[in-house]
Amino acid sequence: MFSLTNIELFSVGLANSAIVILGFIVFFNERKSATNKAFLIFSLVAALWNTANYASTQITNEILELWVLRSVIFFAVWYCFFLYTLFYVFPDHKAHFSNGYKYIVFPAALFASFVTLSPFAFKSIKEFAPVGEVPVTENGPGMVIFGITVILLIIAASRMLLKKMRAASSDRKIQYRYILVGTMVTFSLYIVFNFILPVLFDKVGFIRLGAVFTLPIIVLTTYAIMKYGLLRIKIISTELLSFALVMTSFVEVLLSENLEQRIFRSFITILLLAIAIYLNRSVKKEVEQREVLSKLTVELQQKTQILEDLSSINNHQQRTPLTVIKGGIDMLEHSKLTKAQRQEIIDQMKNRVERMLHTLTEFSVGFSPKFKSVNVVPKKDNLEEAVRMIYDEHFELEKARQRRDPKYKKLEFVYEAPKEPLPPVWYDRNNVLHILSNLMDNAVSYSDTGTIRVSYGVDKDFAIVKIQDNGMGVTPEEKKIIFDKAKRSERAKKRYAFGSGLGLFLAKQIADESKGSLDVESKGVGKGSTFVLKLPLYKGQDTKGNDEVNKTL
Amino acid sequence: MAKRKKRILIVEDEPFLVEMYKARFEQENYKVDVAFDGTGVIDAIQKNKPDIVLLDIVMPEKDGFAVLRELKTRKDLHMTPILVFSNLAQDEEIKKGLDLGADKYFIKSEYTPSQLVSEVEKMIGSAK
Repeated sequence: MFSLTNIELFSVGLANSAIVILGFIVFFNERKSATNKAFLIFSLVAALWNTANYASTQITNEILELWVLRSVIFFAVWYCFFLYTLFYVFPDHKAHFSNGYKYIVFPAALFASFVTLSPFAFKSIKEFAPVGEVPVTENGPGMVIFGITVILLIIAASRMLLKKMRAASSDRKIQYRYILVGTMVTFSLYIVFNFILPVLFDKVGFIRLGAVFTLPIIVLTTYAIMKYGLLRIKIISTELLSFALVMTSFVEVLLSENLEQRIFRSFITILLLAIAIYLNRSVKKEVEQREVLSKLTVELQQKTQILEDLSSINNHQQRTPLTVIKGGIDMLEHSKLTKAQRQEIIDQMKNRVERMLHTLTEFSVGFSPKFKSVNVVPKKDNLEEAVRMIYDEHFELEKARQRRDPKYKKLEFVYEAPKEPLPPVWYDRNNVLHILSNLMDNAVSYSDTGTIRVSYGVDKDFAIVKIQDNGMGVTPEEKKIIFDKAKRSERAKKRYAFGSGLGLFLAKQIADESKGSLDVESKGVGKGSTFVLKLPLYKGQDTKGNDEVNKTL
Repeated sequence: MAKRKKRILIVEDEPFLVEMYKARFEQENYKVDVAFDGTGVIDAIQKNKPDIVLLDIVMPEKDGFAVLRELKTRKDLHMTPILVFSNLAQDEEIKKGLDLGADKYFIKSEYTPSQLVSEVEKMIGSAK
């Protein structure tokens, strides 16, 4: 017959096995992680404490009972200590223990645990209890040390968890919440069944169920630690389960009574082993595929977000010049204007049409997933003219702004013409105008004071254009992404929320495609930036390697 | 006593657009003040007490949303009608502007200066 004691033994055994298995699952998932190690030790100590707890209610030998009771509070100290350690380490991969931990907390726990084993805690057993109940003991002053240590450790552990939870980023907070809920449920159960009921109502029958009460903290902490690798649990559980099956079957082989049985059972064991290997491999494959899938999903979400942002920015960038053109037509039609005013409106409208074409190219590039490179058609051309044109355009625009608004930032402009006329350059003017315009736009947009300086140089076979500002500068980290497609630094976003992150990307593509280069130099935050554009000098590129040679001769 | 001229504050960072709207509103006998950025807007409203504010959203330094947020906290100023006049045309952006307390939200590219004048007149009456 199945008695109550058996059901209890069963549930305690089951809960304890679950605790140990979860401890190992977490550990094996990432053996080098300090958090996982701390969790394994914590779950093992919890299981030992639960076992001692249960045993203390089952033993009938007086001496043994005294020592089992002592071991209960001994493990209780370490249980609390490793709870503290777990929260101390979580969620880090590597543990850094402070001096306070090494020289105060650990020695204190060590001392308290020695006290629990000495007669200073449990002196003797006053009244022996029947099986299933807790005996009455004669307690010494050591119990106070035990009580204080345990309470302090639990308070310190909770404070540690709350402190880390508050400092955690929002996606990490969920992890802490699971652990917090688990801890609260487990300790509420302890307080109710191991403290309030026994002390206030004299009901001690639940103490031996401690293992069941420990489950919430273990299960929820397992979930929190494995949150980013939950699928891995499937692999490890399959491994553990199949290992257990094969081992059981193997033990049966050893216990066989005759040769026939042994041969039959060996056959079964080998079959089980084969199935286990197959099962493990297929589970592993499935999990790996699912991991790839979830990674792709995240990537897709990020890409969609970028496209959505781009589409909003694109919409805005197209509407802005349209507003000027539409407004300009309205003004030309309905307002009394001087000749000069009419001319200005027409000039502005022309300028906006060009800009629209510009942004259209930029965004068609940005939106196209198949984009490989821009179409650059170089020819022998004067570079200085193009630079001068873009420089003048920006200079005039800024000066006009400064005149209109006395509070507007007062940037200076310096144009350093080359000392000797620049030799002809092999480049595609339309495309390079895009680079120059973008660089000048940026110099103005990301500077509050100082000078925008344009200068030239020649380096071997390359013409160099430098655009220098005294603006917000570029950090080494920002340098890594500054030319990436649709990527912008946090500082850039903060300063101007509606940039597309396409301008410099496209500029770099054009420079590379022109067999030149585009780079940025900066001494850091607030120290200004210098963009350096290199383009190849004309060295008869159009005459090399084709029939053109004959024509030029 | 001469009637006080209707006064409008245009907040817009694009100089040519400012010039165009200013010219158009002045033709209709409005007194026009201009802010090129969000930073001076609160001061300008306090000082000039405009009958209406034309507020762009995308501006360097401080954008129109930030201006709306600040205006919300200013009990003394929140009676001034605010017409958001922006090229941000996505539904969420329009909703955001209205939620932050704008009275109207117009998409800039859909209005000529003349249409804008007549919309403003609908809101605060003619200046003539």
